[in-house]
Amino acid sequence: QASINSCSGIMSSQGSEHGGLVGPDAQYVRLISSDGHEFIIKKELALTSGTIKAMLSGPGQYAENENNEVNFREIPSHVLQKVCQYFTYKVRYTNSATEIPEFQIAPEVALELLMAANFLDC
Amino acid sequence: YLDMSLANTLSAMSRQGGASSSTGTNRMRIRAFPTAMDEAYVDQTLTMLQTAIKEIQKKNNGGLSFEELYRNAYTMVLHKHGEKLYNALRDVVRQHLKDSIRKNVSASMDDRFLTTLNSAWSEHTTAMVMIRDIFMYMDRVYVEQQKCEPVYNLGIGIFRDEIVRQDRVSDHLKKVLLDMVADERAGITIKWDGIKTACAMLVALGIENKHVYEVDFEAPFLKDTAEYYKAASQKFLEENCASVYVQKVETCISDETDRAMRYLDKDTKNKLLQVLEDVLVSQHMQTVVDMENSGLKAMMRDDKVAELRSLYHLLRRVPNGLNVMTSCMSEYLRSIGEKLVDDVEGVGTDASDAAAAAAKKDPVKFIQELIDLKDRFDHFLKDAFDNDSNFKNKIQSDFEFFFNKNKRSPEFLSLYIDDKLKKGQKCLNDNEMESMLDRSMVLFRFLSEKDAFEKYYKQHVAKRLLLDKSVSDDAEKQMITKLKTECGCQFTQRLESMFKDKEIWSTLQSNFKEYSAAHPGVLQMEVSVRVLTAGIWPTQSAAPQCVLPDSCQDAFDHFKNYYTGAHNGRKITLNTLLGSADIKATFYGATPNADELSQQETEAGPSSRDPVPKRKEEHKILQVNTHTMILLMRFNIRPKFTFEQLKADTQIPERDLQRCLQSLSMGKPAQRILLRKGKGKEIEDQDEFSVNDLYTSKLTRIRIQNITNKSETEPERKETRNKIDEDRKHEVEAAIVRIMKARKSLQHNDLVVEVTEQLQSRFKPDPILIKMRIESLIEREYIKRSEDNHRIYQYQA
Repeated sequence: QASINSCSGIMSSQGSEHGGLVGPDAQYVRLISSDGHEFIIKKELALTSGTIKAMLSGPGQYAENENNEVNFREIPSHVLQKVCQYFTYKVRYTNSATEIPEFQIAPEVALELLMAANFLDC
Repeated sequence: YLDMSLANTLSAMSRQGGASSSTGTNRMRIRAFPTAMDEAYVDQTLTMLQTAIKEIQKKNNGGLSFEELYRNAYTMVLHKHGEKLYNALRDVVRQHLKDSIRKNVSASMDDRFLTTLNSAWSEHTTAMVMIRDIFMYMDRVYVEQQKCEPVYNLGIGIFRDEIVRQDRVSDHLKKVLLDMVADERAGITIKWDGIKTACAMLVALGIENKHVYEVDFEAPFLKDTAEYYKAASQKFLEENCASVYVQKVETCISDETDRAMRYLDKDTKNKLLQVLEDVLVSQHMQTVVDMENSGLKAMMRDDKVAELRSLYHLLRRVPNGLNVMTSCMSEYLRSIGEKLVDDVEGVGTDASDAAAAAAKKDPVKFIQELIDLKDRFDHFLKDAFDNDSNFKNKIQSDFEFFFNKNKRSPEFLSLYIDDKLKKGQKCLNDNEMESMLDRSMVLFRFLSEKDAFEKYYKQHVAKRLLLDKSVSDDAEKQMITKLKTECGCQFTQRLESMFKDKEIWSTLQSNFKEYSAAHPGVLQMEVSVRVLTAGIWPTQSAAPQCVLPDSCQDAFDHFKNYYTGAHNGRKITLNTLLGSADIKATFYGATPNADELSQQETEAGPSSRDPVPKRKEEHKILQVNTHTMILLMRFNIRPKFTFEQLKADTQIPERDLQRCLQSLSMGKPAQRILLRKGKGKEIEDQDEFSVNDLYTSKLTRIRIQNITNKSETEPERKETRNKIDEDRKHEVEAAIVRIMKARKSLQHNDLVVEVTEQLQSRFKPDPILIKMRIESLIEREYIKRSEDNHRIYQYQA
């Protein structure tokens, strides 16, 4: 079981339908890792990834837009978790006047995270 | 980017070299790279992707998973199958367009054509965006590396090649679009957003540039437009007058601009305007400007300022448009100006004809009309031509041209000012005076012979001051200040000196009175004297020395004594030209036999007669000028004189004497002091003059006006002209010497140029005059010719 991260904007999945998940104006999206872990994060943060952005804001209607959820068949949860943290970090510190801390990456995760990043274009 | 941070971390890791650490939990987990894909898997993936694309193109994308498609494309590229992927993509897109879309489009070559084509285009672009998103990784990596066409552009290119460039689609499209435009021009409402989409499509099809749009639509559109308006403009011209044509053109331009902004590509607007301006304006501007009864000249004549303004703004758009206008305006202005000049010179009529001479215009009126003309054109310049400098300069050069055509303009301008500054005219308040003087200065600037003006102005000022005719000293001084500002001190020095003299007169007069009181018994009459400094005041070249009556001569001597006593070392002489006198005259009335009596008298010489008075004697006071006074006093000695005798006795110059006698005997009946016996219009030597004892008048004090010409007579003019030429000779020489002194050595042409430049504010020196002056200076050894080069002069100290 992956640990529950206390970063803001990430809630551990409880399978409940939060009001902000349904419909085209939904504020949240559901990202599902290859091992079934669901991450529900603010849509705005997820759009940091070019791939997710094209998926959700492009002109086409895909299965993903319909349900506001994306299944990442090749990204495991420990990686996806880190990715979500990165989204938060990125949005928080872009165009920020305060000092920017380093984004911590554990060496074990590094390689897989790199590949996910390449995939997600972020 | 995350992958950047990761790259840093990884390189940090590799620097650390090795991964394992003592604690077990820190083992780096490296997932094995996916194994190479085998042939079958590759083909399978490709097929899957192609199917997906087909679905997208058919708008069936709802059920597809972006992630899956994206991931597959990503994997393909990762495994170095980018090329296969790229080609497969291209093929499937092309296939779809070829098979379904082309058919649709060809099938609708009728009024559904535009809608069909536009919707095919819009669907295609939407699909391509989606496809591009899916293949984003390939775009980023493979396309970058191979430098081939990105996915989206690839799709556009395929559309262009498979649809637009097939089956005469582009021709048909062009026809449809142009027809729609023509309809709209004819007033039919069209669905113009169809055109807008089509144009946007054509622009997009060019990918890097707008070439497709330009070739397929823009160029034929512009050509069409040109032809349409060529025909339309002919029609407009035939049916309408100039101002309506201008309005129509403006409407067309604004309509077309509207159209361009509404549904054409933004760059087309300027090209369109270019075409319109060329066809509607440049081609026809000469015709419009020259149009009889409604063109530029007519507009000016009828003061149609608004029309002029529209015409100006229209013609300003095209190169050379304004030149056409200024040439025409110049023609018009010159013709008016020249007519005014001809009128005042009496050209075109027989000058010997008395009626024509009378029709010859009054100089003052001439100047006033010129001033009015300038005002009129200034008004045009401001209200219609936006103070455009082209027009301003043209007007100026035109005025200079015809104003200087009349050789007497300097004199006339001075006369005009004289008229305004003389007493007896309508009283001008300060503002009016100022504005009148300013306007005169405007004309003054146009004169090329400013030194001639100076001469005349001096003469006229002198007359005004001496005869006390000036309406106000302030006004005079104002004018002098203006001249000084314009031309510098040299111009106005003499004038200011004249004023200084004038200011002393009253002091002089009161001092003289005291002196007379101290020496009683000498003066038999009241005398008032004005002293003029010689050389300052313009006088005729030789002040005539007439024979004064004794009483007058005594009075003058008396004054002379006073003056030379008061001012040591000065000499004064009397100038009789501008003085005036009051004479007491007694008219004895006449007997019925007056004629017989007078005849007897000539035979028998003067004898006392016993007139039987039919009426009482009349006592009058006559105000006359000095010469008239002199000649009238002669009649105290004898009752009759011939012209010849009078000439000899008084020594008054002949011309002057004639004038005096004319006003006394041939003028208005109220002034006929003398009787003249003689034939012919002009006074001859043998004409006889006697006192008109029958003279009567209601007034006690009668002023005898001299018949003078306001302006100069021929001989006077010649004299003034000679003086001016003399002065010019001196000025040219002074300029030459000045220049040579500074330059030491100068070539002939350069010297001429410099001299002309220096003198241009006064007059335009003739190069021949300059050459003659140079020769004269060489003779007098001011300058010499250089030994090696005859064209070079050198200064001789």
